[in-house]
Amino acid sequence: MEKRLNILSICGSGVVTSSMVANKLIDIFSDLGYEVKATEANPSEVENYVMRDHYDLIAYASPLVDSFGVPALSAMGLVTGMGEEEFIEAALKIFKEHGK
Amino acid sequence: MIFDVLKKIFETFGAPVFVPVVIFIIALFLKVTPKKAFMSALSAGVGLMGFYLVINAYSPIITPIVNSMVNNSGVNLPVFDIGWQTTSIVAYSTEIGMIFVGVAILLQTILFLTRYTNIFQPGDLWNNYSYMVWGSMVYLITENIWLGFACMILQLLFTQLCAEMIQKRWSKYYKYPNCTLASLHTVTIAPFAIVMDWILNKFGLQKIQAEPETFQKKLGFIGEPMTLGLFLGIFIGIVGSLHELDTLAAWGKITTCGIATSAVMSVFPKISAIFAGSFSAITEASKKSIKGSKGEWYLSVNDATGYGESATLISGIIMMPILLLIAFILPGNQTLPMIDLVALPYLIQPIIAISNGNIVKSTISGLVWFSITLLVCTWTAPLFTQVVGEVGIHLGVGVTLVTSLVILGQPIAVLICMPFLLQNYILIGILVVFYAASYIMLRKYKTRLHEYLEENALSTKK
Repeated sequence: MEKRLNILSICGSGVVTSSMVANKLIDIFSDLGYEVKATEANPSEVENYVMRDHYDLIAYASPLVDSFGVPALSAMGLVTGMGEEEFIEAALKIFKEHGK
Repeated sequence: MIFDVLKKIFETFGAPVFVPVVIFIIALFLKVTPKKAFMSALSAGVGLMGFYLVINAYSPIITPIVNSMVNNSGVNLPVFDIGWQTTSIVAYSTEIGMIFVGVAILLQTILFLTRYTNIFQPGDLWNNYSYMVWGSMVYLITENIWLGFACMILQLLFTQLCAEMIQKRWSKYYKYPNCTLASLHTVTIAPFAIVMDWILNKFGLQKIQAEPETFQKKLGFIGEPMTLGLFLGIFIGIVGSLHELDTLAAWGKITTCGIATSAVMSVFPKISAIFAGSFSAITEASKKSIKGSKGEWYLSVNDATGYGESATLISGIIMMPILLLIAFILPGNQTLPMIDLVALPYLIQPIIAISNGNIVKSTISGLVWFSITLLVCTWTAPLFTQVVGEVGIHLGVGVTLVTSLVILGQPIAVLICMPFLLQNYILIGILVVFYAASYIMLRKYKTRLHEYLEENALSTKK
């Protein structure tokens, strides 16, 4: 069975950068055999989303004050393309720790 | 001529059909897979259509209120701020804008590869819409597409100069190595920001400390699009109904306006996200050409990456109500800042970085800048309202005019645009010479400028 991932992608107003990050996350982790759902949001919406749904990871491209207990990683590596490998490695480690 | 044919096609099919086709072609040209190219194209069409649906539903609610405010309450602020999201849709819906998408990728890549600049601008492809707004106004007035393009290209070159001034400081302050802002509406504030900071230091303001984090928890909710939208909507509703506040009908209008503004400010970003999604594949593909770049160079990133930083967000939030107040008392101003008030933290990032996160200095500099911005919006509104009408968004009925504080209030952009609007070739020539001189000066003194900015930042207390 495919393993499902639910990821929250964050940037300043949840518009441009977060949607690019979201698309990239789907590309990368689909290739690694996951079924990925990525949602875009702004930093202040995080609490709402986290209350409503379970997320495996928050990928943020804008400074985040609180991740409400969800593992969070800076997605700047994905935005710039420099440090993509590191991001994927760190994310996979988090998923493995949570049995995914 | 090819542009006449394009114009005909554009008029027949409209932006929600034409734009996806262009995106699809550009994506294929950049070797994006057909499946991804198709999805990109489709999200562009869906985003555009979604926008038209929302904005055309909102405008019958807000337009009468703005009209009534001007006609009955004597508040002469008929220029309504529709926000950068709508403006981006308008920009990408213009014919000149769509052609410029391709021109910009090509030009920006060449300028980087030839080392004319050390900034790779296509990293923030999306924000190119800022040039298109000015280009389409030039085209509308002069009916000369080449003047439109020349204006956009000159703005692009000046933007690069300003970005090179603050690249190191922004990158250090926001802690994004090798990244900088490089869009017209975010970096052309740089010369002003550097001079203002120097002036404010003469008053010793760099010694004042303020902890942004403590404010952030308490004030954060004001900067929420949803909350701010509600307050603004109700406020404007009341001002627009001053003559009939004793009627129940007036309060119906006021509260509807509050909820509608709140809804628009929350829904716009969601639709924008769908539209912006169509740019991810192209942006990714265009970034291939930076592989193996040597020396000191910077990738242009979207301003959203700095939005949530504490000093940035808090200075922005402090400015929101003050700027609204300034709008009412500033002589000559006719602009009512609304939707773009939440976007202030995007624009002040160069100021914040130069002052090293000093809230007091940043707020003062910011308010001076945005006061000028209000006047620029007032001046450009009649033109922009026409552009909006041309793409089929029905805003600006009666006395109402539309603008975007963030995009159309840009002082440097308007100065560059002016000679083109006037079709004054002597002034255009002077502008080109001025650019060349600035370029040579910056090449010569860039290292010294960067050193000064770093030293200056370190001497400032947070």
